[in-house]
Amino acid sequence: MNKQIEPSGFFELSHTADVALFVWAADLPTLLIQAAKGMNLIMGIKPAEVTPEPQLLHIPTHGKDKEEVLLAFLSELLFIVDVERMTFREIGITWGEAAVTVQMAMVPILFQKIMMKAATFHNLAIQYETNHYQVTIVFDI
Amino acid sequence: MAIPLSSLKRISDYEWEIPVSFNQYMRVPVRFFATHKILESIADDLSLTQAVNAASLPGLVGNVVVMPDIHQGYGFPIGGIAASLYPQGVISPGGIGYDINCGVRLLASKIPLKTALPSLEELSLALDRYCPSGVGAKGGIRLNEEELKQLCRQGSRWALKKNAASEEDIRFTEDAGCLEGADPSCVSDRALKRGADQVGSLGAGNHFIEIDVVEQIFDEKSATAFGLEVDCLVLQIHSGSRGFGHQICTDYVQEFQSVVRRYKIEIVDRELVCAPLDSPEGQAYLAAQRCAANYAFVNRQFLAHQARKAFSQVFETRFKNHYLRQVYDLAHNIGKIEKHTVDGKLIKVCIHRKGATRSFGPNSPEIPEDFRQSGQPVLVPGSMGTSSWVLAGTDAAMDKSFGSACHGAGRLLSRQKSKRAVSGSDIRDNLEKQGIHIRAGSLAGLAEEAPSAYKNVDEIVDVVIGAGLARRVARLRPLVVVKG
Repeated sequence: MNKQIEPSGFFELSHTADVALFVWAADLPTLLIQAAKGMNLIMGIKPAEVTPEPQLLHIPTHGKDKEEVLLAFLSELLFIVDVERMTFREIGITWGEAAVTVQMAMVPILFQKIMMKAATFHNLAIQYETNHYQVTIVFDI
Repeated sequence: MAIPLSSLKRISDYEWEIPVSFNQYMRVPVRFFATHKILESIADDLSLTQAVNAASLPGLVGNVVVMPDIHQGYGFPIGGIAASLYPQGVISPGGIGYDINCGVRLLASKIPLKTALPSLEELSLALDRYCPSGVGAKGGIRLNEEELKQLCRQGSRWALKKNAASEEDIRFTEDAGCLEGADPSCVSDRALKRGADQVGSLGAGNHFIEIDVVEQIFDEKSATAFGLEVDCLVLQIHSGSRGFGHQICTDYVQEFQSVVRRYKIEIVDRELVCAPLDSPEGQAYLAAQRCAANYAFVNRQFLAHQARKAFSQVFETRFKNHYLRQVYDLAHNIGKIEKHTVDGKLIKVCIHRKGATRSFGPNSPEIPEDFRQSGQPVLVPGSMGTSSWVLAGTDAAMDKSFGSACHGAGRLLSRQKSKRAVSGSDIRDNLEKQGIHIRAGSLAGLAEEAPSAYKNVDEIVDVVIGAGLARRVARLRPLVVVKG
């Protein structure tokens, strides 16, 4: 499988009513970044070619497992897409003890093909296999 | 893992059961309305597994009921109904869905098809203009926070105050367009921000506005009660609570991840998270869900108001009596407190309908006086380009399915598979060859929504009729489809 060649990535899986994404990465911050990129690809988001603006997000981690943190992060991005009509050109994540800090370079969305209602918890389980993390995320579109 | 069909017990030609003994987690049986052919079509997916998982929730009564348009969702299957004892049972956001009060509104006119034919293209353009649709589309009005909160509390009555609704519209809306007990203080700032400018917008995906002609009437008396005339135009609106509802569900699904731990509720799928109805968390979600439901009623009301403007613009000088009169508006993703008879006793339950429609029979006090002879209208839109159905609710539905019926054709193929099988331009060309005017946001979207991606709606309706959950009233044929 490609994941043995690429250290991180994602691909779309078939799911009857909605869409699913398989994501893998060597570490959790990269897993989140790949999940975000995959989600943007599914939505068919095309960013505008303008100077990006920095934006910071803090996702508290206290009392949350890894899956809850992942979904809280993706849900924040969906909120920004829907309300601010903005997306990231670049993204960096630090997974601290109290919070995940997300640094993004944001640009307006030029075009979006698909509206996504939510990232779901359906069968959501971040697993560690050999030398990487992997997860399948089902999205409601 | 998919459930082997041999595990199902045949009750009748249209009813099957997965007994409680099938699996140690089940608290109630699963009762599935389907033909053997429909069963075979879902044999390889996880829809029935999801129904079995749903049957594990605490406080459930009766059966988990599954409709013939079932398809695999996340947590609960789409096309499912579950009832939990009130207030001792639980409420689960996954049993209602992210698009809270996604539903259908049907309006009827006295415009004959012959008169309308030359104007259909113009009408499709007018509808496209008056009813914002597609990804990122905003509604015509922007609400401040206080206005949005009033809308949440008042539902369709808020639209009446804004001159976008009539008393008749409200009378012919499920629950008069307002679930009582909506509390905006239980809604997050995020949800309020998302809802501020989306009232009066269609959305995207499988949401649509469709003009049909009443092709055949099967029950004249009920059709008259509903205001339907053969060969006359009708209009369907399929939309929901937009980003407002999606955010509310997201917020509570996330919050309930810790709630199930707090109340020591074991669940087999994290999308089945829930809270006891008599807990502050359960009451908060119920109150927030009601806000989203009311938002969706208002959203469809504004879309109807705009559609009426489109009709006026086109028909003002061509056909005097062009008013679109409301037939009914009903929800197919909702959680409500209703009274049902279970094991001979009338009890209060929290009914969860996810991809299922209310189908109350004659004499039900909850439906308008106008429908006490016929039963309430039950609206079953087909997939793009295929027939839609108007049915009437029955007393048998009250006994068998918590007064519920199917909501549509139900997906057969994933969006990916559908896009691989057909092209959007072929779909558009085929529809146009059938004389159907189509306005769509994207060709890819058309391919995802191809008729071949859905079950046959006529077969779905045959099941609910055969099982006695509804009666045929009229069949509609599409003429114009506006998709997001």
